[in-house]
Amino acid sequence: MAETMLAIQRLTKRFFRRHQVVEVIRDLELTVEKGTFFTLLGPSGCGKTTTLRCVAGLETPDQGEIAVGGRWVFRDRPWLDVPPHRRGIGMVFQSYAIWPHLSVFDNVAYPLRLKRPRMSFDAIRRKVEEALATVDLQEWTHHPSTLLSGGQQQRLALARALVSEPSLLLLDEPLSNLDQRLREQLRFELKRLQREVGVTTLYVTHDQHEALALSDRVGIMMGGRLLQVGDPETIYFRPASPAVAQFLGCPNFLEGTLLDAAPAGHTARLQTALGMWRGVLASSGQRGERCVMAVRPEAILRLSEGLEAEGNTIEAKVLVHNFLGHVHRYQIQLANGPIWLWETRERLPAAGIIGGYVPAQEVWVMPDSASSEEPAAGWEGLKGVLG
Amino acid sequence: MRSGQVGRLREWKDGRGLASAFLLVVLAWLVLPPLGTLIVTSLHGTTQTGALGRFTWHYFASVWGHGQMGSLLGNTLGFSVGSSALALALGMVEAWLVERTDAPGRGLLTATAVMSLAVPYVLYTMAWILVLGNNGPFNQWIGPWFGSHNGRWFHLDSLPGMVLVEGFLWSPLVFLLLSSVLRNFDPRLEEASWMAGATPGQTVRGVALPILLPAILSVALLVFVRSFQAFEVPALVGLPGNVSVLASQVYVIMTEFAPPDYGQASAMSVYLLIAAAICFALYFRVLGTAHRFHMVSGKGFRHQRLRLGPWRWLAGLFVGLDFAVKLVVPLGWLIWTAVLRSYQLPSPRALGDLTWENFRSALQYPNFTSAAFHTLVLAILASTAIMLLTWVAAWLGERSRLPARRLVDYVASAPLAFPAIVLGVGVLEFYLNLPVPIYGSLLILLIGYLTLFMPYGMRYLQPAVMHLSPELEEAAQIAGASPWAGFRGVVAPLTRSAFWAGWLFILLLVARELTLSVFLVSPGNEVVAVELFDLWNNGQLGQVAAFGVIWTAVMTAIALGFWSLIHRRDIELNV
Repeated sequence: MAETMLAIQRLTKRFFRRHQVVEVIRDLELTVEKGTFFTLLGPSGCGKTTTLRCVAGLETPDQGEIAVGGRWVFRDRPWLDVPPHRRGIGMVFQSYAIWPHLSVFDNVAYPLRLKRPRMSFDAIRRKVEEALATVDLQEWTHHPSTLLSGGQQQRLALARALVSEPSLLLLDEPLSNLDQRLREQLRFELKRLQREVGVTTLYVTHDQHEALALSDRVGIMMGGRLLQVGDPETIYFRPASPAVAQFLGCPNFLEGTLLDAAPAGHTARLQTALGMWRGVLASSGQRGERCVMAVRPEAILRLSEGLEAEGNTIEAKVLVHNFLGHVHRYQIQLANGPIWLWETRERLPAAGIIGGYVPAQEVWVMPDSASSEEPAAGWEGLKGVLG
Repeated sequence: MRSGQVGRLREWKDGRGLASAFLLVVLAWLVLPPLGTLIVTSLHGTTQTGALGRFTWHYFASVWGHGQMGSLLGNTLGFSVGSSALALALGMVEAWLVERTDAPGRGLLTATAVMSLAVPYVLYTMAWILVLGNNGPFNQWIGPWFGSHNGRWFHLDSLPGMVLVEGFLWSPLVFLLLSSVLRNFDPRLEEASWMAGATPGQTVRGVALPILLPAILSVALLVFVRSFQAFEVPALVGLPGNVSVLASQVYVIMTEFAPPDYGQASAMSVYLLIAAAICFALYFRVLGTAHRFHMVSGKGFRHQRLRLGPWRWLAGLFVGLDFAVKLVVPLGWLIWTAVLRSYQLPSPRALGDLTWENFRSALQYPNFTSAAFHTLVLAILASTAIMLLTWVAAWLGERSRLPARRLVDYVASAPLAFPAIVLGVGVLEFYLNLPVPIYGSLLILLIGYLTLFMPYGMRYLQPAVMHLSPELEEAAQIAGASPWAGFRGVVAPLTRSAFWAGWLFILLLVARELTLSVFLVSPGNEVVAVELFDLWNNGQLGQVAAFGVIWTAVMTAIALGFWSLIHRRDIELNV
């Protein structure tokens, strides 16, 4: 079994906001193994950044335990609170926090100059140059840091965080201040760099594409809790609840009642408002149980005229059409009410009824109870964002 | 709440708690004893031996006798309303011309304003008395045209005369404050109004004015409360004409008899203090609104300048006249007075009377040289101490979670509401009765200046620390810096320009301070402004003018340094 680099237990953090207590993190449990790229993904206000800041020591939790590399950095009983500057963690801030009064070199050298016993001047210079070479900034070594572009500042912040060889690297939405193209380019670089250095990384973002592209493991966080932890593909194709599915860009849901009893991972039939449907069960189900099915927008296939499918069909009218380049995205109105998204490379007719169908293995059936646990804000608030 | 407590625990461990406690003790020591002594004395009075008398409301009540208080209040109100209205009107026109139009010679107005930071108020007031007084050119040359040959055509030593001089005194600062308000006004708000179909006039009425109103109002209130407490003009212009206001009345009570009637002076001071406190409470309320409207994006707006067209030359005339009246005439007259053997109006005969004698004797006069030395030493000590203390105070106030941080802020800002004259009385009464022989030393002046100017340190450093992203400091902590190392390595270097701006500004304030010093100076610890004031009262015009000119030259260099610093670094001016 791999070595655990970060262990969080029973972590709870409350804030006072407008004279009332808000529990930002509730009883969070989390372990990150050595060398892993772990992403906390969630909507804004879900507590992911607060979790990161608790690990860094910039916030003091109300309860719980945090251990980094097998060493306690925070513990509520008996009390232990290691201040940030003694935790040996590297961090990249959302604003990069590049010190404008220091040169590129001095920014990276700062952590080394604070080390006791003192490092020699040469050793510091060697280390800094090495770190700057890793992020491809060696030509800028003696420039003022204020001359750097956004992407370069981000890389400088990374070099500064890595130069003292931390056991754990924390990244707080480091790509969110960059424009789209640069962001996609840096995604590759970040992943390559993390593989090269091998540093255990805790990454926080609200962008599901970033999370899926970068991570070894993803934790979905909402309302101060972790809803699901898993590798990106599991999270994407096998969400634990409708809330998770919705956050990962699947707004198409259909309610139904199980007609068969089946174990998890097996196909079962359901009675729905759109007729009889088949889907894969997320967990074992009993006959007559209420369920929610999730259908990914790209999983819907066009049913050519004259062709008939047995169940899993929809009849839809196009409401709005967005051309995204690699696909067309349609907002469609189903025959009996619900509004879905449909992504296809085909050009659909603007008027008239269009037939569609979803293969049974693409229909993910979750027990209805999974949705009742979710905080209302996460569920409702996201419809606007993704729809 | 637990998290609050645990955060504090960490702060006590790393010494920030101790630092807060230390700051609080120092600040409280500066502020509370003079204030307490003042209140106690106003309720007891003192006997001939200087001991406290019995408790009585007599002093508070007696000032209302003989209708004296009524005329005092009336004069004070008339004086401050009139002069702040004049300063505001002048400053507003100037700011508008400089910031938003293509009026020719706009730079002259900025030069006038910067110069005004350098000239001691007492000297500026004297210059105006020389120009507008009975023997000045105004009455002697222009009066006869209107059939007045006794030099009493314009009575400077009247309420209108005081209003005029005080208004001139304040308009440069109003101009500087309003200029920055106009500069920070987002032109897109106006553009949006034009695009919505409003005419430029409608835009000013419907958008610009309502948004700028709180800021303008806060400047107006500030000038009002400052002239309410003003001492130079009421003492030099008003008293000779028997026009008293609250501030000058305190001075009269304190200097009329020996020993002075401390009870009476204290009661009057308490009245003045209450009035000032009310004004400041109002000021901060308005300022709060102004900040809510404040466009945070702040810098680098490019405004369209209004093309004045044919009106351009009228604007130019105003600028030239303004420059002449507020800078060239008073300073020129001061220089004229300085190079004369005996004071007279310019004439061909007077040219034969020119001499450098005044400058030579001013530089050799031991009181002047020691006053200049004392003032410089005090200015450097006071501004350095204030800025260092408030650096830490502003940082703790912004970043710490200790409950003491608010208290530090309040105590450090409280003297803003102290009229200098009131603080003078309070400091004098407290330290006179202390067994430590501090009265008559430079130390008592230093204590007074520290108390009086502490708020300015806060006002320069607090915004600087506030605008610093906390992440910059957190990054230092993550990199292994303790909170104090983070302050030294990140916060201090990044707020350095605000530190020096405040340092230079306090230097200028101390260099021209008269009101507080006038009570605390005795032979041996004389300072420049008081020396000028005394010599003026002795009638040594030539020497006063010569020394004033030299002193102004030195202070102008400092003012220019201050100005270029806040201009280059985009630091907001606080006066």
